[in-house]
Order: sequence, then C-alpha cells, then structure tokens
Amino acid sequence: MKPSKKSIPARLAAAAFWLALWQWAAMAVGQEVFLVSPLRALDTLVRLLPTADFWGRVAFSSGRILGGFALGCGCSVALAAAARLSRTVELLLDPVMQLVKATPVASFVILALVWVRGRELSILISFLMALPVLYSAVRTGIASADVQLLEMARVFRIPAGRRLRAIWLPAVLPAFREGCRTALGLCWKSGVAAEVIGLPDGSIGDALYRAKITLSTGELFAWTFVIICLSAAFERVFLALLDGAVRQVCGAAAPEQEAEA
Amino acid sequence: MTLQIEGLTKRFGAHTLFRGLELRVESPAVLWAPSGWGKTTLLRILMGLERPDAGSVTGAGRVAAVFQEDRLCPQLTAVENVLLVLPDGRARRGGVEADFARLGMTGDALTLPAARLSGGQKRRAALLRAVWARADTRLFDEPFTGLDPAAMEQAAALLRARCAGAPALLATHDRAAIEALGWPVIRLDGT
Repeated sequence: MKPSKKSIPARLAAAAFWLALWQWAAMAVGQEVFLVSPLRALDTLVRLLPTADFWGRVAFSSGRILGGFALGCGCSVALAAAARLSRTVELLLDPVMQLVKATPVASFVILALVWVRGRELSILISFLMALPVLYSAVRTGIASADVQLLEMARVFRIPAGRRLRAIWLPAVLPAFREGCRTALGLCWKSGVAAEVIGLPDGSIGDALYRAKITLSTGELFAWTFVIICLSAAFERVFLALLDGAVRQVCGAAAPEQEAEA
Repeated sequence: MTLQIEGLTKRFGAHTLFRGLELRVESPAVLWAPSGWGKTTLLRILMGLERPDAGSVTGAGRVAAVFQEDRLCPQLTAVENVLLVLPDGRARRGGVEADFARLGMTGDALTLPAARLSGGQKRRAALLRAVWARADTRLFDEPFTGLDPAAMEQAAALLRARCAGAPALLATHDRAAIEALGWPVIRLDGT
C-alpha cells in the first residue's frame, strides 16, 4: 500500500524523531566505537560512495545474492510443478524443504564452506534461503487454481500453453509475488551473513568484517545502511517487474476483485 | 456421429441415481428430468469428468459444454474466453463479436474482464464458448439460467441455428426454453 500524501509528513516526522534520539544517544555515550552518530555514519557513507572499491563490493555481493535468488526462483517453480504432478516427488521434497527452512543460516554457511569456495558461498546460501519460501509460495498458488476452470479446460481440450497462461499463471503469480518479497529480504540478510563468515575478497560482508576488526563503527553503520537500501531497491524493482507480468497475464482484474465478483 | 449411451448406471453410496440408462442421440434434444434425478451427473459422465458404475458411452468425441456454473477465466474478456477454446481464435474474433452482438452484448461488455460482467452476460459468454468450440457433441446444463425472457429467446434461436445436425443434449426445467428451442424432449422420469 502506498503512503497517502497526508501521511508523508507524519512519516518524515517519525523518522526525524528516531534520528534525533539516535544523535542524542550517541552524544550521551560519547564514544564513537560504541555508538556512532547518524551524522558521522552519513559522513562515512558520503566518503565511501565515490570510491571504486565501494561499487565493486556492491556489484560483487548483489550479483551473487541475486544470482542465488534467481536460481531459487527457477528451482522452486520446477520442483513445485513436479510435486503437483507426482505425489512421490511431493513426499520426497516436503521433508527436505522443512529441513532447509529450519536449519540455521550459520550451520549452512559452515557446512557450505567445506563444499564451495568463499566467493560462491553467498550464491549457495541465498539459493537455500529462497528455495523453501518460494517452493511453498508456488505450491500455495498451484493449490489455489480454480478446479472448475481446470475441468473446463479438460473438457474443451485447451492446449497446455493456454492453460498455463489463462488458469495457472493467474493463480500462481500473486502467491509467487508474496514469496519473492519475503525471499528477497532473506537472501540479502543471509547472503551478507555468509560473506561475513566466508570473507570473500571484494564483498560487502568482507567490508563489514573489516569495519568490525578495525573498530570503524561509522563504516559498520554505513555498510549496514547500504545493505538495507540495496535490499529495498532490488525488492522494489523486482516486484515492479513482477507486477507488470501479473498485470499482463491477469489483465485488469486483480485477484482480490476476482474473489469479490 | 451418434452419441450412444448403453446400460449406464451411477450410484452415490447406497443411492442409485440412474440404472441401465439407454439413449441414442443423433441430433439436438432437450433432456428433461425431475430435480435430483442426476442430469448434471449424467452430463459430467458424458464430458468424461465422472466414471459410471456400469455401462458405456460411445461416440461423444470432442465435447463442448455449458456447465451449471459459467466457468469463465475471470481475467479474460467475454470474447477472449470464447477464443481460448478455439485453435484459430484470432481469425474468428470478428465472428465471435458478431454473435455477442446478436445476444445483445456490445461495447463495454466486450472489453471488461469476465469478473466484472453481470450474471446474464457471463452466461451468454459460456453459451457462445460452447457454440463456437470445435466439437462432436455439445452438452448444456441449464444454459439459460440468469437470462431474461428476451435474452433467452435470442440464445435459443442461436442454439437452434448452430447446433443442428449434430448430437447435443440440453438439460433444463424451463418450459419456456423448451418451447423456444423446439427440440425433441427426452424425458428421464420414466413417463
């Protein structure tokens, strides 16, 4: 839901309140090592922005984390479709997905370091975080497909491609979209966490770790802010693209409106 | 082509809907039976959606149907719903739109997604989908539900013109519809 114009000043005021509180707390603590002020964090970020190292790290981490997410998208759709077609596949996959979902990121990272190089670690971890979330979302979407429409398609012998476009995609895309929203945030959190443990050269996680061992709290805050911005920006861009696809496939009738009709 | 039903029996638990049903359908006919007789179940068996407990159905070939419900893709327009079942849909758009006009649907009604159409408009779309689909047998389950008398007359006239010469079964209770169609009536109440 978009914020209304009236609520924007209220939101800005809320943000200003928390920034002021942060500034006050930093001044009260009086030691930048423990709590850096927002002005100092902003200053550090402004110094980082024009450097090639900064953009190199952003590109390195973004590419790998989004690569893992993309792999997760592809595999989850394929596996969910296979689970729909075969009860055996569904039974085999269910415990695996539960296991992947419940296993702590740190356990995966340490295990994965045995199997893959540190540079590729965030791809694998992002993939593992996205997979169960998206698998579950696609399964939910498939389950929500209208049984009566599927029967109609069977009677009229509508070809598979048209069934996909007219019945399956409108059912799956809204659930897939919500899954992507959750999975993207998870991928960024876990991907950067994996980099902090695996320490691949030229990554954001590596920069965070260096900031920690050199007690550069300003950089720590600046990089954290960058991660939040990147996560939000990619989420917005990806969801906007997906919304375009949903509109293209579902037409003017949004799923909620269909439910009401 | 002839639709042949031989010794058809359908039970739900201890309740027998129909037993040893014999029918031969070469041209359009109205299927009349009291409520609860199992007309919808019979049509679903003919569509291949349910299995009989005994007996056989031969000669149904490709089936087109109007279900009890409209079963339209809600995001597609009425015309797109019809074109969806046609192998050469794009080439037929003009003809489909002309038929919608004959049934009193023009302008906005053809550009809105089906989810936003009225009950009567949806029914017309479901009816035209069954009429336009390439089929050997056409099955209609209460196809005039939600249509006012004038619209029902128009729809009956369209069915009379388009369904002649091939097997078709239309289940209805509506005496006015039966008269408007003028098709022979197959009574399934034993009379």
